[in-house]
Amino acid sequence: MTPDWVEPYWVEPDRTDTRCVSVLRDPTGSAVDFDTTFDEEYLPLVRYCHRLCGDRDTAEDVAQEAMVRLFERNVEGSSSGIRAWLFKTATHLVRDRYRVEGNRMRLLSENPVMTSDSESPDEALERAENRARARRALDAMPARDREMLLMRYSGFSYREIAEAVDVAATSVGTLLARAERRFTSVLAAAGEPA
Amino acid sequence: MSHLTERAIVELRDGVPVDADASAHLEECALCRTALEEAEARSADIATALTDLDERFDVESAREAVRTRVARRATSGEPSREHKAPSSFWTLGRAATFLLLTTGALSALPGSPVREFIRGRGPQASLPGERPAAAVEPVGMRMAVQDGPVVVELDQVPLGTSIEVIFVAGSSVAVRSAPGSSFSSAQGRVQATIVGGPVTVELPESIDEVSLTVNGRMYLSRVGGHNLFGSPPEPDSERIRFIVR
Repeated sequence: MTPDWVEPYWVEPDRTDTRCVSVLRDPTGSAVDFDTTFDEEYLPLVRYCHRLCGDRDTAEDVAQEAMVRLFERNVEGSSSGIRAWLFKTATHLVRDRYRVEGNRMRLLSENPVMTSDSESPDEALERAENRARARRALDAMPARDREMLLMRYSGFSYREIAEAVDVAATSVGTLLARAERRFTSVLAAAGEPA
Repeated sequence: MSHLTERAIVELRDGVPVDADASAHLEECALCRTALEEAEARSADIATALTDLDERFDVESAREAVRTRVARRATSGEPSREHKAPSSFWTLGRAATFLLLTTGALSALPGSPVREFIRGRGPQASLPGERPAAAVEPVGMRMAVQDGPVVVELDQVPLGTSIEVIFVAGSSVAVRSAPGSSFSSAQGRVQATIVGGPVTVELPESIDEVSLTVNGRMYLSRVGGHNLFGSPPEPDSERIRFIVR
């Protein structure tokens, strides 16, 4: 009997098929496969998205969408190259969703700060206040400054940041310094008593 | 040399290569060294503030969600979700008008396929005997085996998935399933995490001892050329076929 699908391709255990990242698992462990990539990249990515947009559901949805596109499009490259691709894709997805600023603010207001079960009430309150301050500081920044700052604190190099936000690599230092200044000044102001 | 710029300070802090003059200046200038220390402290404060924003995320649920999305798109041809502004009413109106006009013009031409279609003899989608394009491109793994025993483990197989087992000539075990599935192998063992079907398992006819487990449950065990079933195969099937329930 003939299989009712197109001729399959095979992944031998001792080699890598670059056409499908999701099956790139070989016994030597040198290949990039779904689980390895997911384990390495998902958590930093979803945290970045969450810091960027402030909405947990959106962050998870965007991070997952970026991962899906990675495997769907068989993006190839080094580990750092794949990471940069994921973060850049996620950044664009978040930008698309929040093109209307009102939508972003509505989502933020619908998502109160969550606290961890293991914290005492005082710790939870302090953490909630810190989070609210950090959130306000991020929201007060222009989108590009916010993206650059968050990418820098996710471990990206200046060159990768430049590529992701479409600025010259030589400008990154200046723009980052400005972004940090804005962030810390709003953070400090938010911490002062009214 | 004048004092280092804010950019140079930040670049120095972040390990970006700077020119020798800047490094030399830093050695001599207490003011710039203080600025660098302040930049380092600011960096630590920002890192702490950003860490405060982090929440716990369920990685395993996300992993399954991504697997499902990849498999669904691969099997349905569903395009990537894009967030595009809807077309305006007037753009749609212009497109509809253009379509009506061109269809009308084409139908007036003798021999036009549009004319044939309107008369009720639509063009054939494919030639007789032509193999229709399949929507699913399965992926899989093949592993050479010696005498056995061999264990094939299929995990996370969705309910309702069809699994066909074929005994073939040769000396290799193979598993095929929908894209997004992942595979691993070791001596005498093939493991596959399945995101969707149909699944095909090829086992060498000559092997004495082989077993197939699905989601941790024994489905088929072949000992001394005799098949034992832990799950009833589908009736009237030319092959051994299971439906995961």
